[in-house]
Amino acid sequence: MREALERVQAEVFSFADIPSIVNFLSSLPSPYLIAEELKSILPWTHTLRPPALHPQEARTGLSLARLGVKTTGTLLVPGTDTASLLPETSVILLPKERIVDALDDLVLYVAQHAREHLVAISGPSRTADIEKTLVLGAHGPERLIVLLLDQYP
Amino acid sequence: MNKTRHALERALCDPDLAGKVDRATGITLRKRETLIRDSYPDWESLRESASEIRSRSVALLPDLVRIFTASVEAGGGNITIVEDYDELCRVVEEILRPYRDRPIVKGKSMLTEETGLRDFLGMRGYEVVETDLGEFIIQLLDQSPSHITAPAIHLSRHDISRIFRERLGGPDTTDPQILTRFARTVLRKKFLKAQAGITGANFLVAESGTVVLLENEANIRLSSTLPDVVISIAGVEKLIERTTNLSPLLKLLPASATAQIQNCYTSFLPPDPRRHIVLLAGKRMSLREDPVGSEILKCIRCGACLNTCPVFRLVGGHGYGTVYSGPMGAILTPLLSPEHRSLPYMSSLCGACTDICPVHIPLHRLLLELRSRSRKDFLSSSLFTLFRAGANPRAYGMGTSIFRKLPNTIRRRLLGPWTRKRGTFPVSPESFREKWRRRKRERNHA
Amino acid sequence: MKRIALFIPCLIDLSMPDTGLHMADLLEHAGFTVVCPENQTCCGQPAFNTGFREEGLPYARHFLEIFEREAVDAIVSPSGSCTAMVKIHYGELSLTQCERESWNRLRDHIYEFCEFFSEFAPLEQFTFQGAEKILFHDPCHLLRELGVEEAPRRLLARVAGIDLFPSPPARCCGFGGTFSVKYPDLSVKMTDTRLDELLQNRDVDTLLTADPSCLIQIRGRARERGLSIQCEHIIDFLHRCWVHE
Repeated sequence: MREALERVQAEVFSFADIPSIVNFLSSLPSPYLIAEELKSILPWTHTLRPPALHPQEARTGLSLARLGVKTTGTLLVPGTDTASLLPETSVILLPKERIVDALDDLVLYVAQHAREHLVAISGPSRTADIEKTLVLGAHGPERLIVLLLDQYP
Repeated sequence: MNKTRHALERALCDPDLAGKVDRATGITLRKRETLIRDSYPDWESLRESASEIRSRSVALLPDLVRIFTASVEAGGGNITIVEDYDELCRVVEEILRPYRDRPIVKGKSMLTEETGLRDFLGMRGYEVVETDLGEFIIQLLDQSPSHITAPAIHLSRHDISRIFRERLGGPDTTDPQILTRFARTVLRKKFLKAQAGITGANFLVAESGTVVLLENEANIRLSSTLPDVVISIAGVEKLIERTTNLSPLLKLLPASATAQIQNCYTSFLPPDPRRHIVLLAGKRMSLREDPVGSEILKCIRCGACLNTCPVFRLVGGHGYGTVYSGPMGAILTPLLSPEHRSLPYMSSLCGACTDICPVHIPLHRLLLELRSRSRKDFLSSSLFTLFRAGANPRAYGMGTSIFRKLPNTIRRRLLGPWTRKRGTFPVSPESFREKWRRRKRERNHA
Repeated sequence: MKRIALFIPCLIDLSMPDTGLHMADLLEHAGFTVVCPENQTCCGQPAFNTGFREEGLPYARHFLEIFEREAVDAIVSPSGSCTAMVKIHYGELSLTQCERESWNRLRDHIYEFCEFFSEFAPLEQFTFQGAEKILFHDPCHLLRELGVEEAPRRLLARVAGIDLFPSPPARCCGFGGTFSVKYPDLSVKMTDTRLDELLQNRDVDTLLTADPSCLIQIRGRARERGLSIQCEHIIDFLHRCWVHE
C-alpha cells in the first residue's frame, strides 16, 4: 500500500492508533478543517487549534478513507468532503483493515453504494498542462499525507 | 474542405508548432509504454473487455437512454434529453438564468466546444470560466483546444507566461510551478464566488444514473461540489450499462490518456436535486445505424490515437481546423458534419492509431471506408479512369511504358508536388518485365 | 516448398527493377525454382487506398487468375504493403464465391520477402559480408498489417561485419500512396521528422527498409536535403553483401 501511495506522490506514515496521531497532526499548518464524520468519532479533534471558521481558510484538512486500493494507491472518500479538496494539505486516515487488493474492489464498493457521492483520490492534485511538466498542487491539495492506522477507531 | 486546408497550411507554416506537439506527445507515448510494461501484463485482455463493453453499450443505446433517465429521475435528479446543439444551449441557459450574476465555473467538455456553448452564454452576459488549467490558458488566448485531453499542448511555457502577464498581471517567470500556483489563486476566487457549475462526463452509468468524471487538477470536484447547481452535459455515447463496466475502463483511460496508473480524482455523482443532466441524442443516436458510426461511438476520448498519429504529432489539433482532431476526429467529424468529407484523406493510413486504441476501434480501416464513400468528390475523373484501366495487363504495360519514356521535364511537371521536395520521381529506363525477359533469354542461350 | 512465383509491385517494375532481379537471384540460390507471371499488373493499392474500392476489383480478379494458374508453393513480394493488400484487403472486395475460394487458397501462401526468406531459405548456404553502420526503418504495412518485425533483423544478423543500430520506435515515413501527392508538404514534413529521428545521435552509413514506397520517399527526400546517407532496399543490400563462392 505504502509503495503504491508513494508512487502517486502521497506521503505515508504509520501509526498504531488514533491517539498517537494527535501530535503529528498538530505539527501541520493550521487552521484545520475536519471531515464531519470524524468530528463525532474523534471528539478530541477540537484540540487541533485553531479550527477553520470558513472551510476556505483551512490549511490542513483531515478526512477518513472508506477504503484504499493496494495496487494503485487510491483512496475512496465521500464526494462532499471539502477537507480533502480545499486546503493545501490533505491528511487522509486509512485503517489497515480497509485496504483492498485491486481497483475492481473499489468499483464493486461504488456499485454497492450507488446512491452515495464518492470520489477516488490518487495523490495530491496535479497538472502537466504546461509543456507536459508535472506540477503537484493544481486546484486541490498540494500535499497528500496518508496515515495508515493499525487500529481504528 | 477549405477550412481544413487553410488550418493545415497555417499549422505547417508555424516553425515551432511541430516541435512542441511532437515533444509533448512523445513524452506521453513513452510513459505509457513504461506503465503498461510495468503494471499491466493483462493489458490485451483489458482491451478485449473494454471493447466488448463499449460495443454492447452502443448496441443497446436506446435502452440505456431509457434506463439512465429512469434512474436519474428515481434518484431525485433532473435530466433533459436534447436533439441538437441549439436545444442544448437553450436548455442549459434556462437552468443557469437564476445564477447569471456570478461566475459560472466549468470543467473540460469537448461537447461544449462542439456546441459553442461558452460563446452562446457569453453573448448573453454570462461569465463562464474554464477551470481546467489548459482550457483556462486557451480561453485567455481566445483559442480552441488543440488536443482532447491536453488542450494547451501547442503552447510553450514562454507562451503561457506571456499570456498570464499580459492578461492577468501574472509573474515574470517561465517556471511551470509558479505559473500554476498563480492560476490556482486566480481560479480559487472564482470557485468560491460561483453558484453554478458546468461539467462534461466521462461515463454515464445507466443502472444508477451516476455521472463519472475523471481529472487530475481538482477543478471538476470544485465545480461539482461547491456550487448550488451543477449541470453535466454529455452525448449519449458516454452511456455504459453498469458500474462494474468501469473496472477495465478506469484502468485503460488514464493509462491511455496521460500514462497514469490512476488519475488523481474520479468523482461518482449520483442523481441529486441540485444536479441537472443534459443529454445530447440526435445525430449521435443515428450513427448507430452506420457501420463506421457504430464503431466510432465506442470511443472513450482518451486521445491516444492523437498522440501516436504521425500527422497529428506535426500539426496538432489546430492543423485539422475541427473540434475533434487526430484519427478519431477525422472519423467522427465527417459523420456529424458532411462538409468535412475530406478529413479522412489527411492520413497516410499507417495504422498506428488502430494499434493503440484501448477499445479496439479499427481506426485506419474506418478512415479507408469513409474515403470510399466520398471518393468521387476528391479525385479528378482522369485519375478515376486511370485506376480502372490499370487492371488490364496490356493497358498497364503500355501506360507504364509511356510514363517511363516521357521526357524528364514532362514527368517532373506531371508529378510536380512530388518533384518539388523529393527530386525527380525515380524511373528506370528498362522495366522489370523487360529485364526479366532478357535474363530468361540469356539463360536459355547459356 | 519448391516453386516460387515473384509478385512484382508496380513501383519495382517502374522504378527499381533490379531489386526484383536481386530477389530472384537470392531465391534461386536458396534452391527454389523461380517463375514470374509476366502479365502481372499493379495489386490495386493506389486505387483501393484512395477509396476506389470497387475499382480495385479488376486488379484482384486479375491477380487471382494469373497466380492460381502458376500453381506455385509460394508467392513472394519485395513489398509488405502489396502483400498485405492481397493477403488482407482483397477479402474486403465483393469477390464472387469462386473468386473468394481462390483467394482463400492463395492467401496463406503469399509472403513478403523477409518473412519468407528468414523462415524458408537455408541461410547457412549464404555468406554475407559488409562493413557499414546500418539502421532499419520498419514499413508500416509490414509491421502492423503483417506483424513482421523480427524477420528483417534476423536476416541482417547474418551479415558479418556490419553494425546494426537498434531502431527508434516505428513511425510512418509519410508516403501513404496518393497522400504523398495530395498533401505533399505534410508528407515531406513527416519524412523529415522520421529522417531526423533515425539519424539523431547515430552515425548511420546506410538506411535500409523493406518496401519500395518507403524507399523512394525516404531516399528522394534525403537526396533533396543533401544528406550523405545511403538508402537501400534490404534485398539490394543483402545482394550486395552476398559473397559468391
